Amino acid sequence: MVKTAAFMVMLFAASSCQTVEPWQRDRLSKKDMQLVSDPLEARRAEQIFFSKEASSGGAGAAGGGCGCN
Amino acid sequence: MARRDASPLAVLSAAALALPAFGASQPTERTLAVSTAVYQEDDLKRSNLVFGDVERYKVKTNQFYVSAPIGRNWSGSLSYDNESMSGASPWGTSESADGQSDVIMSGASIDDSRNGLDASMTRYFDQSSVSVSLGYSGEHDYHSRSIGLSYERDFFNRNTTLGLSASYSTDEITPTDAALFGRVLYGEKRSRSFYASLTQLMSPVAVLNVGVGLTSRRGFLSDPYKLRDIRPDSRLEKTITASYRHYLDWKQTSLRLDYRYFWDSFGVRSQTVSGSFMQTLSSGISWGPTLRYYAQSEASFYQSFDQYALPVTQAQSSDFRLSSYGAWSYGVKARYQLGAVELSGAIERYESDKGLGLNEPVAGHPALVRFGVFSLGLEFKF
Amino acid sequence: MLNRFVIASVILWGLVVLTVRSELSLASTMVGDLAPLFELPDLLDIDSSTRLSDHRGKVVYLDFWASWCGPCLIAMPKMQALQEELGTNDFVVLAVNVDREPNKARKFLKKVSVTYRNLQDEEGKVPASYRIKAMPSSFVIDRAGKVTLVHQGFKPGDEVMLRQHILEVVSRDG
Repeated sequence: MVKTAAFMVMLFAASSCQTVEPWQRDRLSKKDMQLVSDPLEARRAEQIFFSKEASSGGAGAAGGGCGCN
Repeated sequence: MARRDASPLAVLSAAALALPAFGASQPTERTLAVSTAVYQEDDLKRSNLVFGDVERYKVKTNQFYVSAPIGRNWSGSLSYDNESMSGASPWGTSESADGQSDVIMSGASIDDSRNGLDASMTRYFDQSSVSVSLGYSGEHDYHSRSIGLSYERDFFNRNTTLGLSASYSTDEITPTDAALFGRVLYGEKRSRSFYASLTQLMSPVAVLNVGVGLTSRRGFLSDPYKLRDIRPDSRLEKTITASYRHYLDWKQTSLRLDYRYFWDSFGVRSQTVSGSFMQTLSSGISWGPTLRYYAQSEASFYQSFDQYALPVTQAQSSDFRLSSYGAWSYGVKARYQLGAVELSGAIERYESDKGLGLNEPVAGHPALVRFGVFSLGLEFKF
Repeated sequence: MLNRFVIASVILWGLVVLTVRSELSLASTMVGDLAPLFELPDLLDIDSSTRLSDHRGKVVYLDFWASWCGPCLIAMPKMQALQEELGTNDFVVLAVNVDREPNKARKFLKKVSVTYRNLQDEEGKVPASYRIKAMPSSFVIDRAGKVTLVHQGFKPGDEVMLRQHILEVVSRDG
């Protein structure tokens, strides 16, 4: 059920996308709009959750976050 | 002592962070950041204790980070973490009088430290970039080395970014007091990980990212510090993730949502949903709440209490981290921008609950952890 | 079963994205093209307006910038230096600001004042007509109104190459 919901959200999201021109990226370049806004905090959180939970990885960065170790 | 594997959130993601405005582009400024944090677990309930100390784990973390563009086409970053750990952790679980589980805690309070270093270099091309990263993490009984490679490619005028990354790491553990406690003398583990993601600009105020990950671990995967912990020698983990960022003009607020579905060959499945708001006020202060929901199922070989009658060739563990449970974390973050310096602080509370797990709980693990984290940070861009 | 679902979702997702993105990005205004004409108000004097055609006969350095764009800001003092060096007889710097909130740009100009003209285009009509692909983007336009150079982004040191090119264009038609 959760998977179907997630899929629907994705489709809805995809249908509403527009082309964003270079001069329209002011808000997208804000710190909190990044996939990883605070690398130090993200490292610390990943370390804590990895140590205390059974799951790991799946970091949201576009090019990294490979869930090493 | 609870083994803490080195888990360097790839410095790759940190390098990708300093982008001018999305896509695989060279960052334009240098960043220097330091941070300190205290992690403190709640004491165990005395009624659940068989032997040992009720006081659990405390960790102080200091972090240092620097990143900068190099020349016209490169950037580099360096990350250093230092953790000081103290306190006791669960050794084993035994059956109590009423059929529930009770915890045996490690006797002596452990004092240990971990040092982690990650370095990465990125080369930028017209619409793509390639990164290499190296990582090391070491404690007196545990060492981990890793290497990672990642590639990013922009499409459609940088509206779409494809990311691919792979990493390889080797870990070695030489448990303390091995001979004294009949622990294994030496263990090795190798991990291979792959990750692919697609990031799409949805509008001038929204970004969506979806990703899939695969990690394979082989070698000694058990916890040598537990009285009876025998795990398979291979583990295959899979993740599906989705992240969404949305900026609300009218409130000067950024909304962040992240979702992860995890499943592995240990039989563990989990869902993680986290969200936060960050509102920027005219005074230069940004602040907002954070919320995280986590729920996992138990591992196929999980036992509520150590069963010495089971043969040692059979996988078995009473580690609370492999039991069915869930947790809510909630907290507040704040930042203050003062010229080129940004001060930040955060406080977070994590409370696990056997009722939130994905399995029907027979008996929740008594050592389910509750902790609080307080952190302060300073970032300087120049 | 989940694996097939995941693969199907990813493929479907990919198709949806490709369909929505079917208008492949057209190349930006190229070298040799006639620079698209425009008329914009002054950022610091809303009532007055400037046309690109007003400067026909001079070499124009047209720069698109915004207060939120780091490299754009690095370029400004370099352009000011260039304008001062070459004077205004043969060469003029025209900067088009594309901030959605022009007040932010005005606030910035108070701190970093320049003598060349800054124009206001908060709707982004002119960068759209030039089909720019990056921020900042700048164009060198010769005396006849043709584009001789397209420059994307700005890194320290770019001003050397730009100055060289501008001097060539100025002396070529002069």
